[in-house]
Amino acid sequence: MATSKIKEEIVKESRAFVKTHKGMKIDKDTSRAFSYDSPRVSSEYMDCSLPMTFDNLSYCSLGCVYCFAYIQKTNNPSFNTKLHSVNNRVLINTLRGKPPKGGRHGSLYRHFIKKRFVLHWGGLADPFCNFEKANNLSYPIIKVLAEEKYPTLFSFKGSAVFRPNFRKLFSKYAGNKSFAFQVSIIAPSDEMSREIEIGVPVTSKRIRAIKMLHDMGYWTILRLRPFIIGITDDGLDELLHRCKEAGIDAISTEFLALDFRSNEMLQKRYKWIGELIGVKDTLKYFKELSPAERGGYLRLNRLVKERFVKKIYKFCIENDVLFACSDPDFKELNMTSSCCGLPEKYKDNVEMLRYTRNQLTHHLKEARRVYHKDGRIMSFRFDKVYNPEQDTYLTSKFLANDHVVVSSKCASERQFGSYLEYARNVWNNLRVPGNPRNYFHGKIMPVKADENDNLIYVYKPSDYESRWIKEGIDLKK
Amino acid sequence: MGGISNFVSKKSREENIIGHFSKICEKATTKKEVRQIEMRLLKPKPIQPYRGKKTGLTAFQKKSLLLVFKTPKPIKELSKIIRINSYVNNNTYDTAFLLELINLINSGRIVWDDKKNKYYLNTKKGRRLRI
Repeated sequence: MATSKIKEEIVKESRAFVKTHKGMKIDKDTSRAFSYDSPRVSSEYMDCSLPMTFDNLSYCSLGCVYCFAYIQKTNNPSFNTKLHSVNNRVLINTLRGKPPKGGRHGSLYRHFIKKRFVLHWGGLADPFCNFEKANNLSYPIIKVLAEEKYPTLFSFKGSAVFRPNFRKLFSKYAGNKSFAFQVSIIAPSDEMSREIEIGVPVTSKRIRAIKMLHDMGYWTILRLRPFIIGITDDGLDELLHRCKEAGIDAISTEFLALDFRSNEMLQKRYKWIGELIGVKDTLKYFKELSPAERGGYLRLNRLVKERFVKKIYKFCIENDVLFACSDPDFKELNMTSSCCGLPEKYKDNVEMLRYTRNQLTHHLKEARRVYHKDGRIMSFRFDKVYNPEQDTYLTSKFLANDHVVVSSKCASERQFGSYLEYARNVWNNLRVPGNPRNYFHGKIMPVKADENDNLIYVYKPSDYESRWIKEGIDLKK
Repeated sequence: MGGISNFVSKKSREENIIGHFSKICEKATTKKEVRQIEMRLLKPKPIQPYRGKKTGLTAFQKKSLLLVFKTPKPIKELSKIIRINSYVNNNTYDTAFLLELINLINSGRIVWDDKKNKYYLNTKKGRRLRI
């Protein structure tokens, strides 16, 4: 199939998707209309500072060609395109301190909401996408979050944020400083943005959203992900400066990863991405340059990413912007324990710091700092990294059923399962892609087992660190 | 800080690769050429294997037992004795020991004692058991 034909097909499909969904309303008559299970615990909790992740709808109305949620959802045979929403009434009651006795919201209240743990909204969908206009479902929740001063991080690129009701709401409660915003930008130019993000506000408009929210006084983050080599780097310097002018406080980046298990539609999308980035076979490019130890979710290796990370990191140091990296490579360079870009210190509202440090991002960052400040090599012990006394959700049997691993477990195994035990399995099993040695591709290496039979890992300084120091780049931040 | 000084002073293999890559990339004029150079020069290296002590079973694994059979027939037999939650097809593990145990239970040489809540060896008929 000729590539131009593929472009035509992908753009046509994405446009049709966006058009169909623009004014789509939830079918309130169906029993499952308000049954979407969220908030939930993130599957990336082992290195995530914000494990309570939330989407109020089952998918979003935007047509991004690279969308990882599209990859996950279209590979899931049980997924259907009927729009489902969370039950706003139950969620709002929970946020107001009146949770149901049991079930998901009861558990979430006990482990997170009661402790006023930061809510991350926008993991797999968009709170401000086109569905909002027709359904008005995000607004009532955001209003309650604002009234309760509940610490929340929004991740979005939809344009509903510009609607008068949202502007008024955010402006009214700006003084609380209980919200932070991640604005996703992938393509530096509007032209490229139109090619790869169909039906999404162009880059310039999203930069305007950063400026609007920054001017109100909110903590704003440029969510430079997925960083697509061949697209995002084309005009990167200019993009970073434009975002700085708009007022970003932090940059959070992560490189594009592809699922090797791809259906027919995904393969077409990969082909189109390949044409844009300059490769004939996108999967071959990713497969050859991705470490085999990470399994079928193909993430390029450090050497390929280094020059881009260096540019962003240097920009952050020179412009006093917080650098955050959600990618397993260069995760140690985080200047904060939250790879989403929340600050380490925030005098305006200390509740925004209520994210967990009991995860690998924090410990990797500390290990890099300790090494470059004191010359010490830090070790990682399972019992020190994960602390179920603070993060009580780790031992919850109920919430553990959110974990993807339970799909291969029988009922008796699920009875004993918890996030802590699943993490322990991954920590000690060097054959699985999620194991810290494999996931960070040798950045931390196992050296021995401790008294509880858990592996002890140590920080392994990389070659790039020595090269960067020679160039005068500060790695003590 | 001696460790860091040594670390900084040595010129590594990786440094050579990156330097070489940068030089060649300067000559590249299109995205396609850069991608080709990346594929040629920036392939990942495998991680060094771990040679330390292997960790044992986790607390969770210790509480579970996975039994795998070639055919569904032994599962039917086993389900008379214990409750089975699920089973997986198409595996070939050696289950001779467990099948022997089932046969012994079926033949009455091992008997369940409801009062003591455990199996015991039936020696009433003077037969000796070898497992």
